[in-house]
Amino acid sequence: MELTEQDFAAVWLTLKLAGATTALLLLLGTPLAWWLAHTRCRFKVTLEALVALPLVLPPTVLGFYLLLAFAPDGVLGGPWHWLTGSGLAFTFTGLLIGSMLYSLPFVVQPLQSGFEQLDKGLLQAAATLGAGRVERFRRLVLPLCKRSVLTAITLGFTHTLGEFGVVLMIGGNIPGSTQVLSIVLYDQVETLDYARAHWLAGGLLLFSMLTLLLLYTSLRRRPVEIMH
Amino acid sequence: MSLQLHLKHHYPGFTLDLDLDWDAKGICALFGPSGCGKSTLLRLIAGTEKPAQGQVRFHDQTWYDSTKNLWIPPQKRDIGVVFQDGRLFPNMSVADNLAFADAYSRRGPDVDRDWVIETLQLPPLLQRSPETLSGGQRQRVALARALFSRPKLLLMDEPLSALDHSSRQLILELIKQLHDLHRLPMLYVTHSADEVLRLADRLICLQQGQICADGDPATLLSEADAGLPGDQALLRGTVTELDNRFALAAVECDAQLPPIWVPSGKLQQGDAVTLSIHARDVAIALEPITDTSVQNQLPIQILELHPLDDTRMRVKVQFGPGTLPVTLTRRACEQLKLEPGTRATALVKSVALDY
Repeated sequence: MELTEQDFAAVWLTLKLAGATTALLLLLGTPLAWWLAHTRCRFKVTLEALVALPLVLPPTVLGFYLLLAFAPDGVLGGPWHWLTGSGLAFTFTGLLIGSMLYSLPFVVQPLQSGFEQLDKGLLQAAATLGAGRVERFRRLVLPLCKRSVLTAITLGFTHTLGEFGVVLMIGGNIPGSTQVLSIVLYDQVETLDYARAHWLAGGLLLFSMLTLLLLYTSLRRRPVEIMH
Repeated sequence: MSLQLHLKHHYPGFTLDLDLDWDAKGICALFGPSGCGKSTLLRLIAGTEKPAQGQVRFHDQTWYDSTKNLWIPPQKRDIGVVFQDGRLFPNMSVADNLAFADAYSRRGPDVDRDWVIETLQLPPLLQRSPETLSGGQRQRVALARALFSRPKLLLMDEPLSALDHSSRQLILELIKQLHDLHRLPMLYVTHSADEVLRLADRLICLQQGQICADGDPATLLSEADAGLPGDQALLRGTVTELDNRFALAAVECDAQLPPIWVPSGKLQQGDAVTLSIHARDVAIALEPITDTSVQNQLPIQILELHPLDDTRMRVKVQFGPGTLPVTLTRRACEQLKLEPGTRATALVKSVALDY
């Protein structure tokens, strides 16, 4: 039993979606996490709850509202159509936006807790040595929050890999464009093609396990030997 | 060059309000008990905290002016700061910590990097991680790092308070040498009178966020009521005798008074020393005691008694021409019937004396 071209297309699309989602979330989630970690704004709690919402919400609920928003006259679909002349529903871009919302807490929360635990005294010391904001972020915040960044990347990526409900609602099932791994798997089970389903399900299981194993191995703290 | 401050700042239960003009030459000590606002003042000058109101000017630059809504962040001020806890970057080696400072260095006087590394005895530490350093080593690296950033003004926030006696003596000596060589103005926050006398040529005493005394360190510290933290006294004297067998030195403060024995350390005959005696290290007896381990028995006369809290009493006593603060329990004061005018003996352990 070999994997078909359709299976490979689905694997490739899924990896592309997870990669793009993680990259964009890092880009947008980092400033958001930094702001949440430092703000004294009274809307902070509301925003934190909003970020955490995808953790508890059934993906179909998120998918349903996104579907409405993606409609040609919807709050996102309308402006998008005006800008690009094309729709959002049942497209890769639409999937990407959905995945970003769906995986948002998995990226923002580890980053935020990393930023909160950071010793602010070190950043002050760097400032008194003449290092500006960007340099302080690059040379201190990122290396010191390495564990949080790794966690955010891994969780964001693997969580997007397993996405099903949101995709089902907004992506449809277009091979090569919106048909991701979990949907192909669902189809195979529906048509009682368990042999192929085993390949995909087993492969995803193994991949996720290995990724998490790699993450937790790299996060293990080595004890520091104190010398005098 | 000069540093001009006109600052108001508030915390719940604390107000800082002061004006200060310093010619930014030499070493100026900011001195006072904990909570007096000296570290806050340093942070306001460094720019790691924004004052509520006022101005900060250094030389021809304005760093802060609330009336013009002007604020220069710390990275654009030509300062260096040595923090109490060193604040070395744990993700870099000692050498990389120094290179970090080098990379963003300012326009202050150039420093001879090799000389600094040699003098602060850093070569064996360069490849180490800051987490593996002892307190004294960490502060030497922190000092070098601050110098490498070529500041025009060096701020030090109790840099030695977490160190043991011998590391403290070593680093004090190094700070002095560095200052003599580089002529870098230093603002030095401390609660140790000993450090003030060793380093500073101007002393500013703070109490509850205000300047309570300002002037020559030796003069101010010898005045009994300069508003200094009342828990220690300083006695100036000369080493008149050495007991080499037990490594003790006799310090004579006044020809009329018995000498005070202290650990001799590196003291030589004829050396001038300033002893600091802490109020909690002095006991009082009504008569001289014969069978005691205490090495110093000083004739005193009680001047004043003030309750400190429910348990403790602060007793001010006359010793020769100066005064000593003594902390006793209120019960002891009652049992001995101490009152102004009582003549007694102060017992001071040699091992408790610092200089």
